[in-house]
Amino acid sequence: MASLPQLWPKTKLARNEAKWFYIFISPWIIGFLGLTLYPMVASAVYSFAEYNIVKMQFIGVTNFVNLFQDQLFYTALGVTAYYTVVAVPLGIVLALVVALLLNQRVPLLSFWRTIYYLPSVISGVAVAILWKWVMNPQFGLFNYVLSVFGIPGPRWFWDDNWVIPAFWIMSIWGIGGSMVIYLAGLQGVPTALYEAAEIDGANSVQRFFNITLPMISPVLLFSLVTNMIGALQIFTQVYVISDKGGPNYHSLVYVLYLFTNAFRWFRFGYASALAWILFIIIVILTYFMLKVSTSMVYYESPGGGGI
Amino acid sequence: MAKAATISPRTGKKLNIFNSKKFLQGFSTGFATLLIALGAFTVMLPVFWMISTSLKSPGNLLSIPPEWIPHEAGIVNINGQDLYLYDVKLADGTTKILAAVKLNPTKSEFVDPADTSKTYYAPASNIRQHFVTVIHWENYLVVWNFSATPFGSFMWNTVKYAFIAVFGEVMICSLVAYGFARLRAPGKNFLFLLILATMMLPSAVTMIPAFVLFTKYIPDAINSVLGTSIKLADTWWPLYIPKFFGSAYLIFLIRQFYMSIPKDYDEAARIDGAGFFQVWWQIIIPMSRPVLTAVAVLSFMYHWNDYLGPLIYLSSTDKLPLSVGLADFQAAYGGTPYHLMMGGSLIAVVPLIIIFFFLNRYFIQGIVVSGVKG
Repeated sequence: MASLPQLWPKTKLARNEAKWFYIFISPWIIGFLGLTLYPMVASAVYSFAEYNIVKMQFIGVTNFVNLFQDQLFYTALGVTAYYTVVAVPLGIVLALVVALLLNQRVPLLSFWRTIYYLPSVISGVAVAILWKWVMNPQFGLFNYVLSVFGIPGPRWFWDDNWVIPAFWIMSIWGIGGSMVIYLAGLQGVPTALYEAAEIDGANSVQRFFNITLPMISPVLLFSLVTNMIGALQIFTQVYVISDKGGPNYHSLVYVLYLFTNAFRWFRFGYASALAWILFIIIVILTYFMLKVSTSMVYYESPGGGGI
Repeated sequence: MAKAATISPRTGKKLNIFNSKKFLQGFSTGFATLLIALGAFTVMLPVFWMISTSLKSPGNLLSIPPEWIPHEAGIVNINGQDLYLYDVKLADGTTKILAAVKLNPTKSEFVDPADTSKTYYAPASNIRQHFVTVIHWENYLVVWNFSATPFGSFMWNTVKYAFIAVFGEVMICSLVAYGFARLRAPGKNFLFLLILATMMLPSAVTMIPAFVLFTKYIPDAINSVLGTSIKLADTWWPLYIPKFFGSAYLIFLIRQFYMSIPKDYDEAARIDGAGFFQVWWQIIIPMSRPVLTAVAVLSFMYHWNDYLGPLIYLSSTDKLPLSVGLADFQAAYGGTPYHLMMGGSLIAVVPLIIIFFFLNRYFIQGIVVSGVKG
């Protein structure tokens, strides 16, 4: 975006427009100051204190020292990473596959799209409760289907090693949201490109890797970043299914640990420290992702994409 | 007369019906459709399971293999007595559905429910218990009327929250977006980058201080100034208020859309003397129906399903929304009444599904506008 201030004429008209700009965005400014900036500063302050909403006592970096020696901190980090590292790529790939299939000019497109999208509409508590039942080791649908193929199903949410895989499966059920985005992205690729490639003798695999993927790469990148940030903060489903952290804490995701510290043990200071660590991790990861992607993502507009 | 080509110019192979372009195209479309249909069926299975479970009795829940349509042993009342029904293979080769009066390994006694004067006999090996389909529609009423978790209140609270949130967000975010899309001012670019940056901020960071702010500092400040004794904990205010100060994501969405509206309309109105607010209200808003509907739908969906926010601020049962109330249901009812939990889940979810089916075009539009333009 061209930077206007250097060209900024000090006319009355311009000043009037600037005044109105600030009037229009004033709700956001107030909200930003009160509900974003202040809390950010406040939670940074809390993180250097022992705080239980009644009494605040400053203890320097003790929270952070304790954090790095806290076994549960590392558990939470590991569980969350384990969940994210599989759920996000898997979700993206599956959503892309379904989108590619739907893009084959199949009949009843909007009907199929509605069906795939439905699970992500009803997200939240109801879905968590449903999947708790679907993955019931003895009477649930999932293990029953497995048994039809002769596979003895594990105890899922009640088994140390299968708890996070169960959450992966639950997250896959909701790929409709991403799928719809990818489908729209796919439909935006000019067919002229495909036709030209076909004339030049490209087969469908070549067309996919040389036309489709590059043309939808901005959409994929945005999806990857937002899904990653979302996955790192998963809370509701985990809390509803296993609010104490699951079998031997094997589903103690990060935000759950943070929530427990804040609203169960009333350790606001420690929880704030946890929150800031999470924030820093997200910023670092996002920065790296964007940096790495510049060589892989193709943008139409000459000035580079994004904003 | 030229003969039709018999060698494909593209692959050099001989052309027959199987490698003609049309056939391959049709085959790939057909194959894709098959895969899609299978996938769609798999995706819907849990939903069918949810509905099926909600109509069962506790006994049905534990049947192995699990059944889709709940069955129970048929019972008929004859002369004031409840008798079990059996499928009985009779001596003459026919099979009848009869009520068991007395069971005996070699000679069981049965009575025809249609004609109680007739008695039949058959050995135990020729009989099988007769199951009938019993659908427990009353489960929904059981859930709805369970006093410890009043679903009526939950539903009302959720509807209220969703409508207020949608109203606030649509109004305020479109207002702010107009500023960013149409008006120039020093510092605008910096502020816009700031908005984008806040999308990376985990809610966990602001959650705790916001809680302290709303439950302690604000009420204390108001009370000390006005001499009142209000409290904001266990009320909906901490949840409603932020909805009137904009959401980064939605502002971004609407702004992108506004940027695509030609400036000619604005300029024409301005030349005619309209103020910026008038331009926004009378020109831009009517033209932004697609994005505003998408925003309304996205916001509605998000707030209907919101759990963490209400969980932190609300404690009284009658103030809870469906999300929190449903989660509390199992603990309140005791045991694991999955048939009721599925029923409750359906109650919590059905309004959203109904709206989805009517407005699904706008849901999709909302997702598309947000994901693709981003």
